[in-house]
Amino acid sequence: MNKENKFAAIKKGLLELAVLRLISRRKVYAADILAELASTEFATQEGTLYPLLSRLALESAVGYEWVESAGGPPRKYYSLTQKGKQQLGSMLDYWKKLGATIDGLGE
Amino acid sequence: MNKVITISLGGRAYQLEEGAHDKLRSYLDEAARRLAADPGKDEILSDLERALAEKCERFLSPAKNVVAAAEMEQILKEMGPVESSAEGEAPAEKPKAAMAHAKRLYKLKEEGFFSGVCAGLAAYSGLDATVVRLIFVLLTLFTSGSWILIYIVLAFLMPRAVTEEQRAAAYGDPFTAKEWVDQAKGHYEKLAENHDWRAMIREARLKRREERRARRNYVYPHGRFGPFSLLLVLIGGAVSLVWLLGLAGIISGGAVLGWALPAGVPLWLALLGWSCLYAAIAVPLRLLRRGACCGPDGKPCGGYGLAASRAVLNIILWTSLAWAVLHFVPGSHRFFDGLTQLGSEIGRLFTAH
Repeated sequence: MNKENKFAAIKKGLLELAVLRLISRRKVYAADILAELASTEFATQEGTLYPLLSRLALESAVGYEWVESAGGPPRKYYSLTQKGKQQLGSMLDYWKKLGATIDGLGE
Repeated sequence: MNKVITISLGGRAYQLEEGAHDKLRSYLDEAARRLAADPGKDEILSDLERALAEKCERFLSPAKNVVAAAEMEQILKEMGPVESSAEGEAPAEKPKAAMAHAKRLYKLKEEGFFSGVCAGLAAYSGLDATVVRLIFVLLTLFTSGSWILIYIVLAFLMPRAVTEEQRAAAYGDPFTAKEWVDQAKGHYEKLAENHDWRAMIREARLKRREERRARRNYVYPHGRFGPFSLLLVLIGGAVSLVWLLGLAGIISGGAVLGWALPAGVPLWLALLGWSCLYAAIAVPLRLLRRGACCGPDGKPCGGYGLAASRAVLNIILWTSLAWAVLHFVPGSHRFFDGLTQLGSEIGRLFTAH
């Protein structure tokens, strides 16, 4: 339980990076993101994802366009903005640096 | 027959069963509360509504245009709790949560034997319900029956736990002195600033209506009144009846349902053996039926060990009750003899086949 709690905190912090990376590949809507994350350690739910996407949109790291859907309400398809790409790049660099630091500390 | 409520989600109309509507309402209210400090609150809420709408579509077809309460529960489970991603997340509303779980004395009819008084007292005191029942039976015996009056009074006075909140409160944290003071203060302030007794009556009426609706919509955990469980209840009742008849036979005639006991077997051994035989049948039955009591998540709480110990305690309870009645209540011998005769008739019926 304790171990899982520790990992949960790390995962929570990294979810943003995972989502940004997913969006960087192609235009996706929230259910696509959830489906792709479902099989990974970052599996999450609407209740967590929507507030995160909203914050990223407010930070103008992501933009979205409306797409009509056949049986249901219209969907928001998200894509990275220029700012989002920069943010993703710096986060990835930082993530790699962190990994290298952790590795280095053990030697 | 369920009332249907039409709502709009993401600009489209959906029909929900009343229970489904209530669940959705409380989910969205909770989401709005948690997002109170989030700058994207309205946006997120309408995003959530669209996601909910899409999930509802999954359960709808040309042949089915209403979302049921159980389906809504599944949908909301998939959605998961809403967590604000912004800095300075709105803190959980502490006082309300504390009040919801403050301990109150309620009748727990669903857990109870007769009216749920003992189950309610057990939840309140933290004792096992069977222990409380045992205490009540013993008190009844020692007061030669007058304790029953107190039981009846309690059954009338104690309110029945109907809503989930009340049921949680029945098991909840003890009511602290500070709460008494706070509540009294609250009442006083309400009275002081609000002389409009009509509004208060209206409020009380609304609350009663809500409770009535909750009672109607109450979903028994593990489907206690499903057809299968009803069968189990009937079988369990029949087994208990046969056991009681046998018990009466052993006490008054030294024979179980018409079969004489082997010579040299003392009374206590016969009672114990017969009860063990009963337990061997009744305990698995009870486990099947109750699967121990269910927690709010639908999983058994306490586990099978607790359920088994409850069954054993129940056996002790009923054995001592039968013994006590036979010894203390005049004229009960004749009743037991009658039962024995009935028992041996049933026994003969079985041996004849």
